[in-house]
Amino acid sequence: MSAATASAKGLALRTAQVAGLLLVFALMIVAIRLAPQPYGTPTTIAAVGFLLLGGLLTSALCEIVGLPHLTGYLLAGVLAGPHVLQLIEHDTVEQLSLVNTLALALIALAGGAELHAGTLKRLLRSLAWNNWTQAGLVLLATGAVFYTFSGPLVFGDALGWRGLLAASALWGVLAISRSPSATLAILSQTRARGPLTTFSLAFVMSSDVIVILTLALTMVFARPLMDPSASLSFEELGALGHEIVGSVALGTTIGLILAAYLRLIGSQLLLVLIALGFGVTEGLRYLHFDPLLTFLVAGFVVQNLSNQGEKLLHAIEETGSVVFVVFFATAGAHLDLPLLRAMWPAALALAAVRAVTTIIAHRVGSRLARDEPVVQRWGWASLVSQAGLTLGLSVVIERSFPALGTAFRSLVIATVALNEVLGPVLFKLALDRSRETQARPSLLPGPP
Amino acid sequence: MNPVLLFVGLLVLAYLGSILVGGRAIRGYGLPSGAEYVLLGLLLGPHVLGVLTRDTLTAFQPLSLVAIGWLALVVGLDYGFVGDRRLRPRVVIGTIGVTLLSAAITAAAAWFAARRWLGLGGAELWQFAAAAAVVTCETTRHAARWVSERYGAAGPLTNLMADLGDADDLVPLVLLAALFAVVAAPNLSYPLPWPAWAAITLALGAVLGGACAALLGQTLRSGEVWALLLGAALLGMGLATRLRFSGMSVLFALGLVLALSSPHRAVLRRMLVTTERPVLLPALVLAGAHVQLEASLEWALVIGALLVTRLGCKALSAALLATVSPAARRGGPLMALSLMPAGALTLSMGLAFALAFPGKMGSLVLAIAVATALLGEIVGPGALRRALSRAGEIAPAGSAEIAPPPAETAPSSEVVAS
Repeated sequence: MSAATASAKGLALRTAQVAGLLLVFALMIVAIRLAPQPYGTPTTIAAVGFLLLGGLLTSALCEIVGLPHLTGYLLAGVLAGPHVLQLIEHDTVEQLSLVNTLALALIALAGGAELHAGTLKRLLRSLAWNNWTQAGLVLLATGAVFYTFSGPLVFGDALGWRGLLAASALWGVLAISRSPSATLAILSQTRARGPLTTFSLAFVMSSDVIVILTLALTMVFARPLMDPSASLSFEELGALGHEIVGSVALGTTIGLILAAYLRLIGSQLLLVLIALGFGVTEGLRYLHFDPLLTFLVAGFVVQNLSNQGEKLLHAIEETGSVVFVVFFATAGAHLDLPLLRAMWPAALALAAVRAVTTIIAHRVGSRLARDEPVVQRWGWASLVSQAGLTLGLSVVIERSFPALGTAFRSLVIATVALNEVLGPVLFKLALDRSRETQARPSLLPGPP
Repeated sequence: MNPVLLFVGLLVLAYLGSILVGGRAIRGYGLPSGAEYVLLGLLLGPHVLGVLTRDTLTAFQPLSLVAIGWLALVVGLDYGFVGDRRLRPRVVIGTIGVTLLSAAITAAAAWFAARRWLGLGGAELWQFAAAAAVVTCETTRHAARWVSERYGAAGPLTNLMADLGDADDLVPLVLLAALFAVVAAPNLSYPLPWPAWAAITLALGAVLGGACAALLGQTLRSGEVWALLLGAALLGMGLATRLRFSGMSVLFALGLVLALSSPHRAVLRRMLVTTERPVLLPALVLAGAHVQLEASLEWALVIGALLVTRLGCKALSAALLATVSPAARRGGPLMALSLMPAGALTLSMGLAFALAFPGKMGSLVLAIAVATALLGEIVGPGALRRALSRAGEIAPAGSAEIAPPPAETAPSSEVVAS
């Protein structure tokens, strides 16, 4: 095929994508005008279809300017969501959150399956230094800024200095949480390979476990600070131990069963993954185990205790190509723009401080660990994104410390919104600059 | 019942369905109509064991709609072809004409029966008559395929039966678009006559199908193809539901236009055909659970009258067929019964009607669909087998071997690069 023909075909496809996107928006708008009050309940069907098509087409157009697909998914959701064009109502967005269950299970499975024991062993020194500096410096710096500036702005004198200290510590823990989903989505799109990719995956996945542990520990000490009548109780640490041990044990079992299935049968993985995502997560909720950790361990077991890791990753990629679009587009629709507008100065300041301290902490940790130059230079880029995990932890904090009210969580949502939008762009840029991204091969169509 | 458990149960059924598609050894087993899954749903439903409550069924309504819509999409994409063989235009036109005639006769019978025994009148009577015609006029595509897979049938009559089963699907799906448009028209904020809304229903699917074809372009990427097809299908079904249009008709038109305008028709068809059975089985169970057993003598009389009318229509169709086709003449008098099998499409349209028009009329239409499928199951496959034996297209017992899988159910690994 000549360059001119290829160029003409590329132009035709881009034109079709723009026309398709306009068509999808136009259909939704006309349908809403024709039937302002939908008949029956299933408005979710159109919403999922719209987010899937809209996200897919917006992401294809984002590709032209070098933005990651994830940004396109988010953008489509924001535009269609209840705060901009109102094509998708708030209740529908809430109902679509069911997709998160499946998406998070797939993300954790893929995250675990991407971790090779050999790589972890090789990166142990790097992970140890970087986790240490991130957890130390970022937690302290963002906590200090929250205590000094943002906290008083948001809470005034309502919490007292002790309560504000506790809130600052909790904020610091949230600041060191990352987004495994964004990391995996970018890597899945770019098919990146190299030291930066390996480091980012290993760090983001391992730091999840550290964040969960740090949060539990911080909550133990924050409780008496927030409520002077409360005493120091290690009950939560006991519950956490039960949760972690149980999750690891169950994750190992699921991983072994999955590996056996992949080896002996190996078909209809779409259905198996969906059943795992919904069915097992429901069981884990009942048992009070952590789904993220369980699926992470399951994926790790499949990759490292069997030779079925690649097959599992391929199946997740096929399934994820649909699920992740809806997941991130729903996240976009969920972005509370009025809240962001109201809180943007505080949120921007906190996000900036977090980003700067993350970069500094990474540079320090990476030099101490003697990482490869490309990791030293760009390794921080995958640590900026925040999404579902951070929001989930903020819900736990809100429930455990009602005195913080909704203001604390609102500030979290506003800050996460900024990191959610900017983080993936920075990570994609870093992968491009470090030349670890690969051209996408044309694939054979096959059932997911 | 916990919705998540039910969902996992439906996934297990889908898994079984995928095995039925994928495994050559057990292809041709089960019933061609899928009636056993309808009966399973009936058993689990609120009227017998109560494992599936009404609330659960309501919660799963979106899933039911998506499943039956997906079936219509596959039918549309496959329309006009049996495997890789294109149907001759005169077969398609002739079948459409005969099916329209059957639908008109059945509608007239339903009109008289419902007026006499149910006391219906006005618009409701017309709607019921049309709905009854929709769920009693087709012959399932799966009957000929089932007999050919199970008994290794091959020959002109086998091909003819497969052609008829495929070509008649257009009629009920277009009629369904018109029927839903009649009800939708007064509720929409822009006044147009119902034929215009019926045309818009089909145009919506056609536009989405054309857009999919344009977006797929010349190259296919696995993940994007699924995302695109699923997105278009869900958007089409969702918009149709919002507007009270027939989602099945929208997705049928989507599939049809996609097949006509995309250079990847064969690849897409093979991709989607493998999903038909996995999607269908859960849908049939949910359809069975929706069936109401509050049958009265009047209901039985109406259903009985319609089944007799269907038999008469099929006898008329067989007689017309015999005048133009030597292959049909070789099938002999059993041809009328051979045209009786109804299956997934009939049941899905019955379910679509029951979901869109909850109440006695919706329930009765679904009951008619189930009765049509059950009667077809009892008399159809056996008669078809004997007709094919008589025509010499099935080898005598003992010498027959299971035929190799036909192209339309070939495993997905055969999918080729474009």
